[in-house]
Amino acid sequence: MLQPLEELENFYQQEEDPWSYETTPDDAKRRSIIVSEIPERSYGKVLDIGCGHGFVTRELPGEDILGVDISNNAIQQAMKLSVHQSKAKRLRFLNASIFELDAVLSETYDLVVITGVLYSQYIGESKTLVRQIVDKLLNSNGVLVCSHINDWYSMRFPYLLLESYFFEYREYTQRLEVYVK
Amino acid sequence: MTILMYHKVDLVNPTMWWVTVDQFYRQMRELRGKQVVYLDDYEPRNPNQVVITFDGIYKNILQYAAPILQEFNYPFELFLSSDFIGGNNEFDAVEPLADFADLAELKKLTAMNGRLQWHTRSHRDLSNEIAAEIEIELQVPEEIRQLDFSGFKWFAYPYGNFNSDLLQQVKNKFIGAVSCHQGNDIDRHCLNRLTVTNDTKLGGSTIAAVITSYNYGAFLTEAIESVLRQTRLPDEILISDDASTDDTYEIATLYQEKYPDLIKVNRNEENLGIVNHFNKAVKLTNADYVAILGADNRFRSDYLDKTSEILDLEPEVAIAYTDFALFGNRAHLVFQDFPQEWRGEIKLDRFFIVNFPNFDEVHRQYLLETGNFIHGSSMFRRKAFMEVGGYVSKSEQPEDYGLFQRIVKAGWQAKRSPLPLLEYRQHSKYQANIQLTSYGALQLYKGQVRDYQAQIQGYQAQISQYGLAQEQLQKELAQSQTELTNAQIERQRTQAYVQQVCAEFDQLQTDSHHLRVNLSAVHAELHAVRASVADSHEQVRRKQTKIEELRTKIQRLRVELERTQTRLIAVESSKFWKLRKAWFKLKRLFGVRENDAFEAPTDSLGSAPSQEVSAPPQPPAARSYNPTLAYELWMQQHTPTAVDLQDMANLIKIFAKQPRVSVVMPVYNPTIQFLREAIESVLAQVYSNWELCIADDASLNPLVRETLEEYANQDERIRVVFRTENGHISRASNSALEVATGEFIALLDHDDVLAPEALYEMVLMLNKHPEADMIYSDEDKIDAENRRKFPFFKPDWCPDSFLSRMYTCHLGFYRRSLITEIGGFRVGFEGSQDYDLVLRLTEKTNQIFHIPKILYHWRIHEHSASSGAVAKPYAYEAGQRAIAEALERRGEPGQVTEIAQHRGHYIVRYDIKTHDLVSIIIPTRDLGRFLNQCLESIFENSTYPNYEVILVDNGSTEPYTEKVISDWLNREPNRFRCYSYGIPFNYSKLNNYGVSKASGKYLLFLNNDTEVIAPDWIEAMVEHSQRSSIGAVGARLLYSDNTIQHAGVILGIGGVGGHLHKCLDANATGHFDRLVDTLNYSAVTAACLMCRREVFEAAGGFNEDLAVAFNDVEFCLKILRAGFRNICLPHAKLYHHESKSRGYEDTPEKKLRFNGEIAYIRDRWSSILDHDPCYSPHLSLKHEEECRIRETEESQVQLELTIQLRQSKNTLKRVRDRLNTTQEQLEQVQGKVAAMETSKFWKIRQQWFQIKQVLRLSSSVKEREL
Ligand SMILES: C[S@@+](CC[C@H](N)C(=O)[O-])C[C@H]1O[C@@H](n2cnc3c(N)ncnc32)[C@H](O)[C@@H]1O
Repeated sequence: MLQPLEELENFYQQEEDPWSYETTPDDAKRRSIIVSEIPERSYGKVLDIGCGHGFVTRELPGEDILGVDISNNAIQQAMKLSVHQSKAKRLRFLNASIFELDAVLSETYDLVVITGVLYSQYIGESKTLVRQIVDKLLNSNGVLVCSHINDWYSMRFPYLLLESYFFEYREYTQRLEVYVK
Repeated sequence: MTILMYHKVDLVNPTMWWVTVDQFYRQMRELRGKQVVYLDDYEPRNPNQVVITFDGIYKNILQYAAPILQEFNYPFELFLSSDFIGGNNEFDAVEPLADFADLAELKKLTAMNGRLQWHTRSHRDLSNEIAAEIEIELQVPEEIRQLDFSGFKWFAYPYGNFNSDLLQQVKNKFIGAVSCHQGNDIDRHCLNRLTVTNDTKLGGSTIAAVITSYNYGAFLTEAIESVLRQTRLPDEILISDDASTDDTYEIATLYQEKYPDLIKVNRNEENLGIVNHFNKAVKLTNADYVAILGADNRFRSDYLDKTSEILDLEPEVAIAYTDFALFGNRAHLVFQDFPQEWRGEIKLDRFFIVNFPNFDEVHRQYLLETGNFIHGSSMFRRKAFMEVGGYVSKSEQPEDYGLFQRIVKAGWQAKRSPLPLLEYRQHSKYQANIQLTSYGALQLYKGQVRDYQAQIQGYQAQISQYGLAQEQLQKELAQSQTELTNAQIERQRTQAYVQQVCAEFDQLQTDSHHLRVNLSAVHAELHAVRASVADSHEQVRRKQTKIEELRTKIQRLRVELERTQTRLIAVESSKFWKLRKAWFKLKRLFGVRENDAFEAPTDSLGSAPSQEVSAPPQPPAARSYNPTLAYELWMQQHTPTAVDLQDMANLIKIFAKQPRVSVVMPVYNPTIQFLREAIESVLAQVYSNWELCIADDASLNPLVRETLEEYANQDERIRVVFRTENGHISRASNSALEVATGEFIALLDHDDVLAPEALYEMVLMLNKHPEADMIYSDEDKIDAENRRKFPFFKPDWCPDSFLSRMYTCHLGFYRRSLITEIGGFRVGFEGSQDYDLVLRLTEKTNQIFHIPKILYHWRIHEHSASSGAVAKPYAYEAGQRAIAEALERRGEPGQVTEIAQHRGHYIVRYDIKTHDLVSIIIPTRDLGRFLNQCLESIFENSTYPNYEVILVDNGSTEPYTEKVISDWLNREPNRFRCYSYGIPFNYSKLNNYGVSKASGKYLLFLNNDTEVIAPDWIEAMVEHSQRSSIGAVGARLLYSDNTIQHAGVILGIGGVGGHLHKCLDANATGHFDRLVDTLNYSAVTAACLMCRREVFEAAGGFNEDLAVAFNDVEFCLKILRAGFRNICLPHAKLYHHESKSRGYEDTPEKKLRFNGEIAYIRDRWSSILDHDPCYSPHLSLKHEEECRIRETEESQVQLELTIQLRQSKNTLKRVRDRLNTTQEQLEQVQGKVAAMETSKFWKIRQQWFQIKQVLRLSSSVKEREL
């Protein structure tokens, strides 16, 4: 079943960092794995879809990094937290759902990151559309990085799979995938 | 043929009027072969046409359906009810809330091939409305009509309902109309539509994916996952195993358990080879299209979608082929083999895309005449495959090429999808042959364990339920039994009574009144009995129903259980045997270990889950190291496969030198089995120009002779000498040597085993170094069960090390002319005859080469010499004599002692020829206390008669230090001098300066924080220093806590060099007892280093470019280059009061300098730094304190994976067993309950019959009474 947007908004309203990413060692580990798996090269435009309060977004490489999230409260938090970042100038945040991105965004990206978002709780049964939208946003030769709790994730994108592996995360296993288009 | 009716397309489907995006996509794909048209173009009788319609119109159609319709480029119809535009469906209380599109959104839809049609204003059921109302409802307002000028020609009846009036009115206004159920399929004004729900299937083709594996288990999960995650799932998957010997079948069946409806598994009991295997596999599937995937490759996730699209759209095409992307460690090589014009993009240096040509006429001819460009995983039509008879075996042509040629010849077309849809792995022969363990497989096993555990829990719950049921039953049973007993008692009483009545009947006839009373009493009682029986009957029945209920419940639970299981992942995974650098970095950073997701590990190797994930950076946690496992892994990677051996055999043909090799084997009373294995190992040699010269030393067992003769008859290269009397090993070996004719001799013991490539490798070395006179290899042990262990990885030729132990040993390969020259083996040195031989031989030549490969397996069993040193004490005494004689011969006389408790290890103390002056040079600055301790220990302890101490003071300022110096100047006016040298710290300069002030023949560089332990330390060092072949002599240094600080430097540790066995206890013996031996090292520390002045000058002194670190290592390397050997003495012992945690690099700028110095040295000396000739390339440079087998980063990961995989497999097995026992338990309980039920049933029946009898009796009484 889909999680209603109000619930998400309340969630972010009631707490900062509602999933305790900032204080959980497993999330520090998750983030540094994700970041270190991004193939080394220079990235211009970077997009983090479902960025939450920007926990991963902040550490991404790239000259112009955009985090989007369906929750406005999440985006407010993200903006607040990113002010102190050394990269602040390169970081931007936008309140939008993944399903409207092709309408909202007119640019395409060298790197797209999606972590902890492609669960049926958020996207229902719409893998096909997600694939289509991401494809519109990702440059040719662009890199797509996905990291999700394996039990809840069943997607695969139609790009060459550079890397796919697992790591332990909280009581779950994360599946990390790196694609090149 | 069909008009489809949709309402809402959204992320989820709360009711049947909603279709999810993914299902909508699937349905659209299923229409791919059809012609999707507007209603205007619709011909109801055309079976190929389809119309897509939406009613509403809801906003979600624009958001979720339209993008997909666009992707397929389908036109669609939108039946609009205008009152709702911009509103929502609040009015429809049972449906979840959904918004309708507003005008702008409707406009957008029309721009996306949507056509607006009319569905009334208010969506009222018009079949009950009056004409005037209808008139209004059918009227399209002008501003709406503006939205779409080509639309509003068609009408949809609200709720599909209409009557003849309505139909008539509609006919007047619209060119056609649609209903959903009331209409028919041909009448243009009441066409029926199909209500499409989430599950509706719209036909389309079926696909079979066949995954074939022959020993590709390591890659298999990746292949399977790539099929299971296709954007268009296949309709069937066959995993076909061509008699693999790896875990292919196991993995396949685990997947089948997860996806029983989708996956089938085939296993060939015998390897059928590709053609038969593939034909069989294709026949085991049924779908219209087939794609075969080799288990080492992967489909990109849109492979099946894109290839099937071609076949769906073009019936004349039988083969859909694609481009592919090469990956894996040989990809770049293979890529180069493709013609330039086919080579496409390279993605991130990892994927090399090959673009094949399109199937035009030119390339049709090309395929038929020249060559193939359609890869073997291309999708083909089963029909075409069958038509041409499938794969056919032809030696000159790959099977897939042949198949495609024949299909094309038969008139079919092929078509290319110009996308790299196949990820085509290019791995080395090695990789393919060794059994890699995969992270994917690990996940699979772990997942399986989780499943089984859940299952067990389920079963256990059932069991406890059954337990409860059983208890309940038993209680009830007990109750009914009491009741029954009561009834029985009652019955007996009644029976007795009745009988009594019967007996008395005749006499009591007159007293009928009395009798009647009696009878009625009986009746009453009988009634009660009947009632009670009926009652217990009822209870039993109730119980049975309850059991029945329980059963269904259990059944339901089981179904649920299964469902959850299928949901539980199986394990997705793609193979990942290569956990990456990043992962390691991270692990190191956090000290993380992977948590063991399941039970406590049974191996001692198991990782303890660590919680301190956020700990600050720390050195890598010492991974527990399992030498057995590490060696197993090493063997996997370094043992040539059959293919490699074949390659070697081919290579030999081009060798310039192919000398005959005489394998010499003295035999005496061997175990026959081992003797056979020894001889067989010679017969199995890849290199064939050998002769086997056997001398039997009059073995007692007649079978020995028989066996040897048998072999001699079998192969003429085998020659046997039977000695008439026992002469022991030297004579026996010489007898064998006598018949040898080869240019080289290889020695083999009668129960040992040669690696099949042993002689090949030796001859290969000879071809590289024709001057070689002696070659030796590494070796290991092999036990009675042929398990290999204890690998002995040796250094290159180290003459001084050789005087400490016989380390070259097996396999030894010697020029026969030299052996003849020295007269073969010497009698009197039995047990060490080979040691003696090599000692003498190496005095004749220095052309000695080492092959760092394990070519010899030394058998250990109860009777062998290698299983325990106690076996042959005489051998060691012989060894001692052999060395002593060698010293004499070499003109370097000295004493040889065997080292206590280390048989076969010796120490040589050379006689000192003249006690020349030793200059001890100590650079210093402050630290007076240390300096004092150092000087005190030298002057107090040293026994050497002729030395001076030269202190180079690098600017001490502490008064105490000055006092220490002046005190010693007073105390030792002759032997002690001090020179001030106030330069910025530069250790090299200080030492060089010290040398300029020294007058000794011997220079002894010493640190100011050392303390002498062994009084004869100077003697020990002079003993070696005086020898003309020796350069630097090092000492054994201990930390203050009696652990090892220095026992010699191994090059390459830490980039330049490090101290092996650092921090081990002072009494530790080290790897293969190396700490007790006197060994050659490439470098020793200058904290205590002696050399002759002549050596110092030849090396050019210390390099003053290196101010702080590694100047000693570099100094030693220069000594080596000047032609001397370096050595480190375990008995020249001193303390080195250095702090264990000391680092040169404690500030950023020092670190910078330190790294600069590393770079400086590596720049000049990298080739020797990367291969220390005094160490083995197979030993690790990562661990100072311990000698480990060197692991590549990959194999480290693999090691960990192997351990985890083993654990997982074990756990799986345990859990599986538990599952089975639980299942058995369950069955037992079920059986018990069933038995109880039946026995109870019978009991009650029996009772019932008895009671019936009583009843009959009583009625006869009654009759009589009447
Ligand atoms: C589990 S959090 C992950 C946050 C972040 N990506 C990370 O990995 O740390 C999931 C996030 O996805 C967002 N989300 C859910 N549905 C979304 C949608 N349709 N479009 C964009 N973001 C969405 C949620 O608001 C939430 O912030």
